[in-house]
Amino acid sequence: MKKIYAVLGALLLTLLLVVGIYSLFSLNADVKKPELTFSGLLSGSYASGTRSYYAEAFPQSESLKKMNTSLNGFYKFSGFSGEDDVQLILNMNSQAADHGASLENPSTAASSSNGSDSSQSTEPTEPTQPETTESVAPSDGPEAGTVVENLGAALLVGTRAVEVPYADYDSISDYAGAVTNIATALGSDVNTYSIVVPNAAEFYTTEDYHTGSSSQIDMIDYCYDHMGSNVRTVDAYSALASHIDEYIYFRTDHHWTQLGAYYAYTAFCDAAGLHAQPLSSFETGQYDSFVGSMYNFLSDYPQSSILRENPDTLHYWRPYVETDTFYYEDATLSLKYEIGVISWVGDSVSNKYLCFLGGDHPVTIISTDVDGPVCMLLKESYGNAFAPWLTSHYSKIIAIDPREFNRDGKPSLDLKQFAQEQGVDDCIVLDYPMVLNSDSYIEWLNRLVQ
Amino acid sequence: MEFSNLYFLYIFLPLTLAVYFLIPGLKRKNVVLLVASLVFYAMGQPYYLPLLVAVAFANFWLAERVIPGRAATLLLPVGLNLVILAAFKLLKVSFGIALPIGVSFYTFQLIAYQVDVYRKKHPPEGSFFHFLLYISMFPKMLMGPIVRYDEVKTQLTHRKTNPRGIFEGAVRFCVGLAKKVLIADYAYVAFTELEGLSYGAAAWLAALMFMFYIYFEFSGCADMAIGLGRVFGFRYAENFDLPYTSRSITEFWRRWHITLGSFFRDYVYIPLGGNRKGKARQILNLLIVWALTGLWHGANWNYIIWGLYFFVLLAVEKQLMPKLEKVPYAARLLITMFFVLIGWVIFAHEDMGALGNSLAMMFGKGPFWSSSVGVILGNTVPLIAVCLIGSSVLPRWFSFLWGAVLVRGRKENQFSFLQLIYAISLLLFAVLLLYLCTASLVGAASKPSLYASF
Repeated sequence: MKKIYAVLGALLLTLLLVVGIYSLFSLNADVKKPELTFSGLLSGSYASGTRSYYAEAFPQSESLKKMNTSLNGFYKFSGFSGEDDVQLILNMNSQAADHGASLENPSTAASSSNGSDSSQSTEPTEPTQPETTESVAPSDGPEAGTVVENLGAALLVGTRAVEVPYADYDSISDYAGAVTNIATALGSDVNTYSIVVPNAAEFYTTEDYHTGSSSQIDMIDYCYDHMGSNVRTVDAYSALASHIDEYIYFRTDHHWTQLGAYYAYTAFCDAAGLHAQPLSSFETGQYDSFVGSMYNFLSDYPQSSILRENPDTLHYWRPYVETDTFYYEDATLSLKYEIGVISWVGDSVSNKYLCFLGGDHPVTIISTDVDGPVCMLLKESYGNAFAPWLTSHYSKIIAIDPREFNRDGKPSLDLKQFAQEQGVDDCIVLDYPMVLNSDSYIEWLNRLVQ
Repeated sequence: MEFSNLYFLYIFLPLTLAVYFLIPGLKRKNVVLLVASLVFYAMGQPYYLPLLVAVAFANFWLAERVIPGRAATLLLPVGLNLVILAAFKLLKVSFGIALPIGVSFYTFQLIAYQVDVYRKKHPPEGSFFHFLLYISMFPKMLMGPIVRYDEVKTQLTHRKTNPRGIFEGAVRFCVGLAKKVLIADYAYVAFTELEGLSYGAAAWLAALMFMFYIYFEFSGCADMAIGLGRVFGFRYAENFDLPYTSRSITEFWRRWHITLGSFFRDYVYIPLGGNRKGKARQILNLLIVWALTGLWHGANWNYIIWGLYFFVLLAVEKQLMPKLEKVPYAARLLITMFFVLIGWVIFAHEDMGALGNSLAMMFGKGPFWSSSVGVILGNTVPLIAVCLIGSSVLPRWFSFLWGAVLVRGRKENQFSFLQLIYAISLLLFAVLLLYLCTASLVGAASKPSLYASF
């Protein structure tokens, strides 16, 4: 028997060796290898980076993926889903707040320029390499060193998946303080508006998931109550709440639709004394078969197939004014890349929400032929569907993503100085409730004016 | 570096094993094992590798100067290890400085070594090479068990290759890996999901998931360490013995983290006088032991409270034991697990505010039930079932039965068809577990082990 045990032991070892050797020859070439540096070697970050790299690049056969999905299905049993049809609840962490999505095309659209000289305005603009740059917010893994925060839960309810925030009122108060700090820094010459928009969980879940610590109206009210008097708050909640029977949120994606953004825009116009343009003024179109970020987040669970089988349709409304839109990698505006207010997204791009401003970028500037003031929009990705509506009123809309500045490896931005240089008249800070709980996001907001 | 890591499983481990088994001679094998252990350590915290070697050398040198019977000669070596341990625990709490990997385990092993030299249990090790190998051996480096020198001293220089031991060790490693990856990691996710809800039922369920998480995490790592140890020809002491089948707190601590409990018994409780110096002194000795047990887990208040909580429970239990013995088995089991569970709630929350909030929710603060708790409970039913079965005596019964039917009474060096079936069934079982763990590890990065930071 000794020989048999030896053979079986050798078989097990051979199996490990064979898988190890095979994996080294089949590693996913798209995953970036860690850079070998002396300091990285000494600090251990090279070794830990190598392990992460290997795990990420490990050849993922269909069989392994299926088995992982089956395991997840087993450990997230949905057989007991009750009357409210909730099948699945999963933790969501700060990846949603930290990682935007972008539709970049620097290789073809880049042009070195210091000014805002316009090129032709052709909308939708077609990106040429969307499949390589597409990244959907909640499905991305956290970067090394990123603090992961527990912001709430993902809920699969019927054919819809939503994010349910867990309110952290200390953080919400800090968020209100951060917006107030921005208003203070910009001074009284700039009108600062805060728009906190609820997400779909507030309207399309049973009571349990939008009350108590998950009540978004309570979060928004608390947030507005803690803002300084130099911030004008916008009641987007009521505007959205009165249209919940319309298609104002996606079912498979964590964003609102452009129609939802439109109702928030009307609330903003009321607060800013502007005349909201009717929907009929805009030319509309649609993208079918949109399966968004919530599906991606849940795709390792077999229950998510209901989202894939019931995709969204994305309706867009193009500005009726002339626009030139560029995005920039930093606030020096030295390198610009052309993009559309509403971009064209091909069939290969599953994340159709990237059509709005081409996704998240450090700075995006829309110049219009409107003879109006200049608006600065501080936003996460919810702002992308909102920005197109502003084109009817402003000569320039500068969208800034606070996540892209003043932290590790990111460019710096002094918002006060930048706003002065750009002649900003109005500043809108637009966010959705998940980031109100994110200390990281709040820190990045504060750093803009520190 | 974690064991539950694809790089370890498919690069480091097979490479180490292949070189180890291909190279002839125990001396050379020991060199391979030492180099692998130092590389293993350096792949986690290269900057602490010199500390490990320096501490090992200092202890090696000091042990030769320990004179049996002269307690003063023991002060420096024991004090050195205590200072290193205490300093890093405090640095972690005060400044967030990472603990050296395995420091809680290797300093305790070194203290035991010095005291045993003093007690003439064994002479000081004569070879620094063997001493460093004993201290740094990677299977036990991360999370123990606390292996005493006299348990392995002979094996360092005289161990025979035992194919069955190697094979069964490998299977044990796969079982441990599965406990960590296929149960503990999922239980931890469920725990964090429930922690976010402000309902009494969620707090109870979260506590239950943490209770399962910490058992499968820690015992899984012990299984991996013991299994790998056997593969290399070492026999490490068992660290867990079905603790969640205990019918008293005393029994629980005989079954939970056994090597830590026996360390405190042999090197703290008994030297302090144990129960030989009267009731009051015994209680004081127990108080010291349990405060130290708490502190060993971290220089945070919750760990100290956790240790003292068990001190109180054990003191009360001692008084009530005659009455408790009349209580039916199932009731005693439930009562014991209730107190163990409350203990894990204390253990799980370093933030005292969060701890107070969790306990308050469990005992009536705020609403108790919500449909979201119901959904998570429904989602979690299979996991709870796996945890309940996995921590019960059933797998052991099955394993005994399976082995008894096929192997018992048969000689290892004699071919037996039933034994062949037994061995092949183990191989298939191990391969299945490896496959499932790989699928899970590929699907999601495995979380760091809780005990890796101790």
